[in-house]
Amino acid sequence: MKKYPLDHIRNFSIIAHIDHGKSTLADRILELTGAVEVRDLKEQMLDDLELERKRGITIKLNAVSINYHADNGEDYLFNLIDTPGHVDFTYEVSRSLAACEGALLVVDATQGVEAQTLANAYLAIENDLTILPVINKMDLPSASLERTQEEVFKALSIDPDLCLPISAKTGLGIKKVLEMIVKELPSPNGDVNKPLQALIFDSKFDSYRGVIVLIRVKQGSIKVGDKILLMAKNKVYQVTEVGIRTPKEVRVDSLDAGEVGYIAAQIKDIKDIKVGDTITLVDNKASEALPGYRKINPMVFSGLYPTDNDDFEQLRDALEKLALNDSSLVYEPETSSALGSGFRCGFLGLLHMDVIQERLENEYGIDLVCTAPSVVYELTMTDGTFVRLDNPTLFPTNPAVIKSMKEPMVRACILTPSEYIGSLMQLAQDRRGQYIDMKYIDENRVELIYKMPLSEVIFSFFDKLKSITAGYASFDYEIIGYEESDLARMDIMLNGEVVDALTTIVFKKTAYSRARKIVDKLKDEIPRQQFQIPVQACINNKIIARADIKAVRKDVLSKCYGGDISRKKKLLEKQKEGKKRMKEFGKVYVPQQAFIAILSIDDGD
Amino acid sequence: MDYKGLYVHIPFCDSICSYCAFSKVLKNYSNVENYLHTLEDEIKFKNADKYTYDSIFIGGGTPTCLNIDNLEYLLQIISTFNRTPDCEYTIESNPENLTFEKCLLLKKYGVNRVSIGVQSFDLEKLKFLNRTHNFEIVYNGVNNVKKVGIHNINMDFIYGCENDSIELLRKDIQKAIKFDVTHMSFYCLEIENGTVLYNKNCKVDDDFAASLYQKLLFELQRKNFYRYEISNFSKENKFCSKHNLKYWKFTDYIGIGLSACSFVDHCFIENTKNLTKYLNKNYIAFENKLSLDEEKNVFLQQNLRLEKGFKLKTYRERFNSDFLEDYKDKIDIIKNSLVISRTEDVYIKSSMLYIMDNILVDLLH
Ligand SMILES: Nc1nc2c(ncn2[C@@H]2O[C@H](COP(=O)(O)OP(=O)(O)OP(=O)(O)O)[C@@H](O)[C@H]2O)c(=O)[nH]1
Ligand SMILES: C[S@@+](CC[C@H](N)C(=O)[O-])C[C@H]1O[C@@H](n2cnc3c(N)ncnc32)[C@H](O)[C@@H]1O
Ligand code: SF4
Ligand SMILES: [Mg+2]
Repeated sequence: MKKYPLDHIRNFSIIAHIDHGKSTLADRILELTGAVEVRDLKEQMLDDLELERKRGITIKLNAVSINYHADNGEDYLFNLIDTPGHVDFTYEVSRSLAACEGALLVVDATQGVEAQTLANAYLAIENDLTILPVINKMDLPSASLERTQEEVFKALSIDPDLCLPISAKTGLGIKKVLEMIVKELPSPNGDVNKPLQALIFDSKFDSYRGVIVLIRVKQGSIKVGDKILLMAKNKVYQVTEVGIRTPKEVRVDSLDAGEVGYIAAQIKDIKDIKVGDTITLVDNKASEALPGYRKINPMVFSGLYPTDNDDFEQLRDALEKLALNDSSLVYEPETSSALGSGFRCGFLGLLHMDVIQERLENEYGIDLVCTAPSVVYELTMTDGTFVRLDNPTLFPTNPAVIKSMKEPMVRACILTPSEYIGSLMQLAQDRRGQYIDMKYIDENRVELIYKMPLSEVIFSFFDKLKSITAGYASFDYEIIGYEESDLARMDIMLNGEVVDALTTIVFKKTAYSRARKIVDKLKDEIPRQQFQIPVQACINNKIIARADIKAVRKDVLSKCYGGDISRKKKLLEKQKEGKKRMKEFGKVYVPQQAFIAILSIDDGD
Repeated sequence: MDYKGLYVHIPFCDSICSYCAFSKVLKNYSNVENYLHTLEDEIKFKNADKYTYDSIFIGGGTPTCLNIDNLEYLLQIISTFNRTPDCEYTIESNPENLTFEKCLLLKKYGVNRVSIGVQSFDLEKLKFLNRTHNFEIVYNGVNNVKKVGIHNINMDFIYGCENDSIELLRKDIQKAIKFDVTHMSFYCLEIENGTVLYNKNCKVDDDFAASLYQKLLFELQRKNFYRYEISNFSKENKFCSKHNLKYWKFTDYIGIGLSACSFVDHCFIENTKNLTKYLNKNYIAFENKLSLDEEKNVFLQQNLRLEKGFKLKTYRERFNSDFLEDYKDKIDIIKNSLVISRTEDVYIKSSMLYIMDNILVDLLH
């Protein structure tokens, strides 16, 4: 691999609202630069996690280095990072941006500017990155270049003429984009002769080579044999491999200031590697570490329990591996009388939670039961103690000991076509939103700003918003602090016994209607068993809602189809499989869906 | 001597009922002769004629809808098989096909039991099910069957339709008894994928079905029809369907024809349900040699459908092990639903037979 002079290197991220075509654009760039043979091309090539491919979304950043032979006859090294668009993964975007000087901002010409277009563009601006906007999906009949350019101009003051029309699908305009990257994006700077400072922006585990660490060298240089120091963790290792990903891994002699690549150093203890940490040399130490990343706090907590309690250690192992390149995931062991041993895990949002659960199940083969997610509440007790509560079952059963309660609030920003303003305001109000502001982006697009409790936006708000607006509105939020609130602990009893995993914290005023909905929902989700099962919701030992799951009366295939024993056999095996995946409370079997179903309960209707 | 059961599937019907998902095609558009020749070939292919049978069941589809010549051809094919003197020989029929001429033919070839798909005598219900007969047609059919000297007669009924009531079912039972049938089957309407009812999004409520069933049991018992299997009732012990008991006791049977199933030498074989494949002599769709544990499970799955379940001794002799030992942990879980009598019979509590799958899930390995 040849060396590129600094002014022939471009480090950039591709950022956008979800589904605007970042990963597809990355495909075209890989293809056009010849980084990937055409026959090896897959759609959304960089989305290499099984889950990313299945869902068609990017959930973590993906970095790749490619050679570009420009029109001026010279070769350039592009270090490109594809990022996720979903609000839950904004953190991945900030990590990526810290390794770059430029950002390709993709805007879907059929959708226009959306909430994460703005949020991610602002992040890029905060990081002093140069933004190169591209208007994508120009091949679609409903694409509108002028309107999109105008929105970009109004929202971000970017010159419409700078917005390149492209189609990541057909390849239209991509060549131009590559040239613009060369011309418009700044090259990195940094002194090779200064002591090494390399930012860790991603990592993954390889059972042979240990942790593979993705770095951006800010100054100095790193090569095989170097003794390195992980500054935050204060650990020393010896580098065994240095390379870049093209996307295949290619070894290089060294990584120098301005460059992006990976190193391996037989790091077996994955806890030593912290994304955002700085690597320097033991013999020639940098005086200080890079600023790293703002610590982000998980917003949603849920208990994760292995269906089979023997899998507990395996679950710990898997969480450790996932947390390696997902520092926003936090976990701590906990026990539930209903579910046994598990972990209380913190996530950035519900999609993040979903993704982690699915990866644990699919990539690590662990069957899980997950409890209803909850936000973190702040309680002050009458004796003056202060508690941050991430687990509803820790909420005092006796409310008299609580002096004050607070819940997290967000500033929610909704971008919507103006015809939906009315219904969206209704929705926000139903979710205890307080109106703050409304701005017209142009004649028919409006930005609505509300202050809302986080607990109201994380559950089903997004789905609701999409369904009200036929998918046209988008939404972003940021935490703005805690506010006084009137809360209560609501327990659920099955067959007379409290199931701690179903305990939630509710807003008192809406507790009754919520309780009604929860017991009804549970009644529908829990399969009928051989005896009648009362489902009760109670607050302060008072039952406020009840529904009964009737005893099963028919469970048989009435007709035997000739000698076909296999139909019945398969049916039974399926039933048995289903039952295995349920949790037993006393004598009541509860399927995983029941825990999830509680989430979809909506106070609005 | 170890006798086997023979099932022969005839997939032709004159019209298609709204609920039916069995392997069947409209006769008008089919080459029946071709099918019968293929049957002969399959018999050779499977060596089905090397066994001796003590039960034969021609089912479908509607075997009796074949024209006289084809019907005779079919009966001739089957007449080449060895059968015991007391062999039960059943044919399934639709009432409108039971002409005197056809009945004579059946008698001539030794058929000694006729199963008639009545479903109901209520015209409204018959229309809902897209059946083409009425009381009079059944009356004439049964008469012809009896005239030729066949008196072992079963009627199939369906319950659980929208407007069903116990009054309606009671009337059906009364009429069947007037015909002096020896056996009745009451099947709960199943809404099967690919049927008209399925496409119309019909549903059968489980509670509704269960309460009808409860009343049916009572009604039939009063008329001295006793339940020996979930959906099957006979007038006396000797009229229990010997052939179907083979399925429920899970002893050997050979199936010939489209979609037919066989169980021989611990091997379960499912024929193709695709007529073109079948006619191209691609008979077998699926074949599975059951492991000992699998066979034990299926044995229970089938036997426990029976009112009387099975005998510990039968299990022991068949599997060379003890049921109580093999399923020790499981039996404890379901001890409230399973009876193990002093006479060493194992069966599901009568009141719980209708939720037997719920119990099997806990019992089976
Ligand atoms: N017609 C058309 N479709 C496109 C174009 N670019 C992307 N798409 C489609 O838009 C959908 C989303 O594309 P992705 O590349 O996965 O979007 P993304 O921005 O990476 O999405 P996230 O990573 O989930 O935020 C896919 O179905 C693509 O095939 C384009 O230029 N034209
Ligand atoms: C498949 S038919 C074959 C015999 C004959 N053609 C007839 O219709 O009776 C056998 C019996 O199965 C029963 N049956 C078929 N499909 C059914 C369903 N979906 N639900 C309940 N019973 C059904 C009917 O009682 C029918 O009489
Ligand atoms: S129920 Fe009998 S007659 Fe009706 S379609 Fe099915 S097989 Fe044919
Ligand atoms: Mg993507």
